Amino acid sequence: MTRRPYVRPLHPHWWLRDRRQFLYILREGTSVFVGLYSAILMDGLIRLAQGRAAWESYLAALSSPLGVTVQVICLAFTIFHAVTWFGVTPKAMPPLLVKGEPIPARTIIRGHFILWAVLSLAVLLVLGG
Amino acid sequence: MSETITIRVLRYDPDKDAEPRFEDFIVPYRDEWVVLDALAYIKEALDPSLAYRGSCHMAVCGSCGMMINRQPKLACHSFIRDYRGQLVTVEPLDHFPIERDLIVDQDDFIEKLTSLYPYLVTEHDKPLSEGPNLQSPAELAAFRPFTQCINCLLCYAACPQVAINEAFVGPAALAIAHRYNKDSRDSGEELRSEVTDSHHGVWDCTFVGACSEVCPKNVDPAAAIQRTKISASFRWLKERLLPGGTS
Repeated sequence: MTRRPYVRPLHPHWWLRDRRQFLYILREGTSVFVGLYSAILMDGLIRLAQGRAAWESYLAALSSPLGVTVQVICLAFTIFHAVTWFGVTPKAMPPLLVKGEPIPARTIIRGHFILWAVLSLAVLLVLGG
Repeated sequence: MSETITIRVLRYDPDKDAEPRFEDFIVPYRDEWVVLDALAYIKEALDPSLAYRGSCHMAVCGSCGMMINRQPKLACHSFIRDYRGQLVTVEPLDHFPIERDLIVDQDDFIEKLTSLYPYLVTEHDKPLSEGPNLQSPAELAAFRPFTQCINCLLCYAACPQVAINEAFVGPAALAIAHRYNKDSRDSGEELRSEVTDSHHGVWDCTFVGACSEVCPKNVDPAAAIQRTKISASFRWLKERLLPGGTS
């Protein structure tokens, strides 16, 4: 009897073969769009520092059909990114005990969504007002 | 036993096969049968050369982990009736070398686990006359879920990081390290941190979360690893910020 352990090669499309792995790669991939939107915002700051004409051309670029499309795509992927990370937050936190009982994961996740909504509303009110 | 199901098993005989191959078996089954029963039937009635592991038949021993229709599962926990009308493909656990048929080589995992001092490390031996180590319910709750690990290795088969990086210590071993680190009777966290805080320890984990989803005992290795990342970060800061921190 020979001992000859066989190592199976990783399937080239391993992340497409399983729903769980696909969602993971999608979550990681969406960070590219989070980064892209951060770069757009940074560019805005640079343009603002360059003066009125630069700032207005930046605003015009953002309002163009291409600018709006890029922002809508970034928003969709950023929401997906945020939602997936909210979903795993309870695992990243030490267990919070209330009267000796850990707070359920669902409550922690809901808390994040509520905080998100409140902060978004506050930003809108500040900018709108 | 009127109904039958086709079980497609990945076979590998190191004496004969250059690489694994699939073989189909038609198995008559009862409603209460699990995949492990079907494998026992194959071995007893169809092909005595089939090699697989299994023991307790009740999700306690952790021996019968395998890929069932590409999902890491315990064969004793997977009812055939749930696959009625389907072809059931049974393969050895992903990400491990295949020893023979459905048996994988676990040596690498055992070495990684051993490197983490998977037992209570105490600074001093306490004489029996001092009585037992008492723990409060809160102290027990801090680590109890992580004691449920049965080393079935389903989490290793689910983890893409284990697949692409064989140096990664992996979910179960890190969960077990966390279990002892959080035990009020233990003082081995510094010892374990050599491995847990290293690049191939918790930092190779990209928080996929698949380990926790497939765990048949709800151990949640993903949570254990993320919490160890927090402790590891504090240790890293402490070493650099506090005087005499580096030891």
